[in-house]
Amino acid sequence: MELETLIVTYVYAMFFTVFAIALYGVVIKPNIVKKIIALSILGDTANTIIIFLGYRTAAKPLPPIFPERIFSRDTLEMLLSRTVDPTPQVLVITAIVINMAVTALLTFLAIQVYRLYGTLDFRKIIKMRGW
Amino acid sequence: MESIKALFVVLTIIAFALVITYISYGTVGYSPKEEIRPLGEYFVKFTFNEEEKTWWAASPETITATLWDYRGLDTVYETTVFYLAVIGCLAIFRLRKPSFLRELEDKGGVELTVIVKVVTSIIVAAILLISIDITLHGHITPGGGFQAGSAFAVAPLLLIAAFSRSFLEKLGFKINISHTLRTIGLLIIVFVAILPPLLSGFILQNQPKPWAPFPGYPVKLGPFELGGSLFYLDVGEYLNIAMGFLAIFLLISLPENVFKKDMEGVEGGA
Repeated sequence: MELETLIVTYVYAMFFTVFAIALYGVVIKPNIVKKIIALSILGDTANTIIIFLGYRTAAKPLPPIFPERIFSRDTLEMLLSRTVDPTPQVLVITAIVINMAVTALLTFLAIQVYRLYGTLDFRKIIKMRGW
Repeated sequence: MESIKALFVVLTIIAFALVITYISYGTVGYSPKEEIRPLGEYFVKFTFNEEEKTWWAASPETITATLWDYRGLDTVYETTVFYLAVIGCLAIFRLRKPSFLRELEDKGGVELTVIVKVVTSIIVAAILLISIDITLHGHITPGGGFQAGSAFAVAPLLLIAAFSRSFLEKLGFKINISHTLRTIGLLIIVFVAILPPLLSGFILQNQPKPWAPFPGYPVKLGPFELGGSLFYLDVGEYLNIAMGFLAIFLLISLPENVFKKDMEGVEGGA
């Protein structure tokens, strides 16, 4: 196996290990705050994987931004040969902010649950009234 | 027994990770390549291409151009999702009697020491400047409304921690005001989006196209590059995101006894 393939496989394995740990936290942990933390880790890992897919092994990669204010064909060709893929970054930039908003909404729900029931343990809440 | 259970969980996690890695590697077969995908290449090629003005977005920043021009409608929907999420927060935490809030303002809050306050005010000023800079340069250098709004979001948190919530309210940062500014930001985006259809273009059009006679937003204003509609959309998005987070943090820092008082005499489920 080549070194590069080995490194990429290692990075993938690490991504999915974090992913699995976060999934474990969401499913198993009874505390709602821990569930929210695990969920935000899950979202961040997914975003990191998407960003990783856009990387490029060309020599000296550039950000996908035209480096000069005056257009010229040579600069465009130089940029096209070295720039990383902009599409994953475009997808992730909105996902991060929406993630933050959803996390804020979940936090508010958790605070409200604590105020109404006096506990954040999911097992205790289920045993209370209404279930 | 407990240690066996923990070992089982750890082994399951490792097995899951390895299986998923194997599947994704075997089916997708992806590793970073030397070429970029054709879609990304298309965006990079045409955003600032003055020779083929049919497809250009008048902005050297590919990411902002893609966000607000090539797939602008998608971003408008995501802005709406954010707007509705903050409205959800406001709805969960609404007070039946807002008069408690006024009592709280008169009381004032506990503040930290002078050292912390001075350092915090310097940092907050820097954060404000940087976030505005990121917004106004969003179509030329890396940045834009989303990023600047997220950068701004830290400032109210710092102010609440070092000074107090009532200090922030005395400065004029109230929930109602931030909500109004947020709505103004969304209205800017809506206005920029529906102006071209009124002038016989298509929705969210930036530059003129051969099949849509809308003249296009101005590319340059004197020496300043505007990037067509991208500049206004970035400003609107900045207002929306920054003021949304400000409202969230102002709400979340309300002390608990306000809600206890507010919920007095209410049966469950109200």
